[in-house]
Amino acid sequence: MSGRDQIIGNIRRSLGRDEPLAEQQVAALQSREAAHRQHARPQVGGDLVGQLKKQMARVQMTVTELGSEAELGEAVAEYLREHQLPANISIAPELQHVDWPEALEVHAGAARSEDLSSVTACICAIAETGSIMLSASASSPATLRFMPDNHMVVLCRAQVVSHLEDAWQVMRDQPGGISRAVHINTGPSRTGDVEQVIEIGAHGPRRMHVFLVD
Amino acid sequence: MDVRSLEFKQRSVIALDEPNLQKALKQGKAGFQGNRARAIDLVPEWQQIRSDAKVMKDHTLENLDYYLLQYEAAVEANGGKVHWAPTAADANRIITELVTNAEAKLVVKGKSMVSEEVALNSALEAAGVQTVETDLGEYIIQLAGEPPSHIIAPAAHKTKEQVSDLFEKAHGGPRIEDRPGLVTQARHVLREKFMTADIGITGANLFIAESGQHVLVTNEGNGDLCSSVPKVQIVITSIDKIVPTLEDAAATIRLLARSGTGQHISNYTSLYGGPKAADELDGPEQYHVVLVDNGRSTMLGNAFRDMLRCIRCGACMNHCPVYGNVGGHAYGWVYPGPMGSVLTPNMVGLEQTMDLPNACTMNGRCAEVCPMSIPLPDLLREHRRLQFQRGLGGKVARGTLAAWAAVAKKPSIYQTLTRPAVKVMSYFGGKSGVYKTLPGLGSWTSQRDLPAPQGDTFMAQWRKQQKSKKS
Repeated sequence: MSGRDQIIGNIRRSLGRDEPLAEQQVAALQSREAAHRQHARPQVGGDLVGQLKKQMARVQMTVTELGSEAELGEAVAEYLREHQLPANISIAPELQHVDWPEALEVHAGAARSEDLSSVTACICAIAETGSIMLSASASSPATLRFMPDNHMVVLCRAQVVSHLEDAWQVMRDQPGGISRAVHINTGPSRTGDVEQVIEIGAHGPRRMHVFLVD
Repeated sequence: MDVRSLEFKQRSVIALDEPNLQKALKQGKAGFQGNRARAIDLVPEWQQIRSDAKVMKDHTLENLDYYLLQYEAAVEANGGKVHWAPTAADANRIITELVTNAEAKLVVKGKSMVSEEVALNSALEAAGVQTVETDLGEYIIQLAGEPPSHIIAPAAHKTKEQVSDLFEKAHGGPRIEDRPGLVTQARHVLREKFMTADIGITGANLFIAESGQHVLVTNEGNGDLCSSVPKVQIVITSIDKIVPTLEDAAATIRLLARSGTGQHISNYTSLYGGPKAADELDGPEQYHVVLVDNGRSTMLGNAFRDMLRCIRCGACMNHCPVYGNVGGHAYGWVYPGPMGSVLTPNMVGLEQTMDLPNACTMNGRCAEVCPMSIPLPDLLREHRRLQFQRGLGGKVARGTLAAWAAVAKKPSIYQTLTRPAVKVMSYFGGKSGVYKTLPGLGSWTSQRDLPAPQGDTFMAQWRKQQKSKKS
């Protein structure tokens, strides 16, 4: 008997039925799924961007507000100067259209082990938790979110949603459907594994910065 | 790993006298309890979220076969593969095969309690594969050759100085004393492992039938590097971690971080569901999920089904006075604290774990803080009942219990015997009103005093009161 038959058989015995669910019961489960049945959730105040910024500050995420995406290139260069970082970035290919300053060395693609700074877009931000949701694809490699020391994210105000459930909807609606890897990142990497004291920069980025575009 | 739960008493005595452990336990307890309480204070809807999650999980368990098969179909549609492991040995065999088929030399691992449960690392070691734990806490205890002492803070029992010693020995000098320095050194050493590993193995905090995704929660980002850099991704998890939909996953995610560390959400909450697309620039080429049963499908049909709602947040042990004093290693296996004392006898047998269900004061804190409303004290009491029913345990304890039960069930005999006893004890209790020693109960009174009875028995006082009311 296969492992699967063994486990499923044992489960059914424990549930007191040797058969799969009857058609009618399956239909009930299918309609539960289709309805996206919701559960209780914490209330999020009316001002989503305000709540998002408050939650991001709690987890050491920093934010720069920009009037338009045209300001992005210069803002990234300024961020690197301010933190005394070398003037080179790895970007998600989805940001290749940005008018990057000449002085910046720009590599589009997956992260390389020597990369210090990356810039990516995102699919939404969640006000409830102060999180950024990113979806992996050819134009947005997953490693850019975890390997470089500094991860910069471009977020448009219109992309801010209220709860996790709203983010799921954004994820489901992506062109091509749900990606193989969807990340909800909330601040720089941290660990409390040495004496329960929080240290920033365990394995992932040491800084996470958001450019919030109007 | 060997089950050493029968040594609970001996190991507890040693733990109580270990100054480093006592210091670490005190620090951990204060932090976990305070952080959780502050996080939950900010959510007035907490009890409703909690009860919704319980209803959701009970529904899931009632239809577990359906949801697991739905999940498998969804993973396959995503291009991944699900493997079914009825036992720990099956899980190790399946993963060892996957690893040797890929001709892997180096495996990087994210923290996984299920992998500890099946002792995956020793199986891989036996197959000649180097396996490196990448969660900082797991890395520390791997260097120390120890099992985790807490399900979400595996190195909770280690002090900074002990970590310095371990790192100096493993990485060479110079010795690093400061915390940021230790974290940075581990980051560099392990980054190199991520870049050269052939396979990444992680656990899953939950997995979703609807979408065929698993959810991986970390704060360090190590699990995501394991899942993004190597060419093969293997996930080991257990059948009880399934939820039907993404909305159900949201309910669980809200409870998990707040109950564990007091965060509103963990830093990295990631959903994975298959190998990379052909045009992607990074990501694994293979995606495997190993679903472990190891006794859970049996628990589904007995008195311990409620335990299958557990989301492994650690709140029960963080609020347990027994765990808080003896730490995780005293429990002698993988899962410590209240959830461990319920789970371990189900997985390794009640005979191997005699003390665990009894290492409980029945104060009920664990059930109160459990985000999934698991009646942990009731389940521990059920283990005690089964111990008695199966004739396990010492003759003296059984004899005493049987004698007490015989008397307590007959009010006339009970009252006839207790009234004079209370009078005598009350008389000899003297001015202090306590007994500091009692013949035959030395080990009990060495830790506490027995208050002497005051006045008469309850029943005697009751009768007196009734009489005076009538007259």
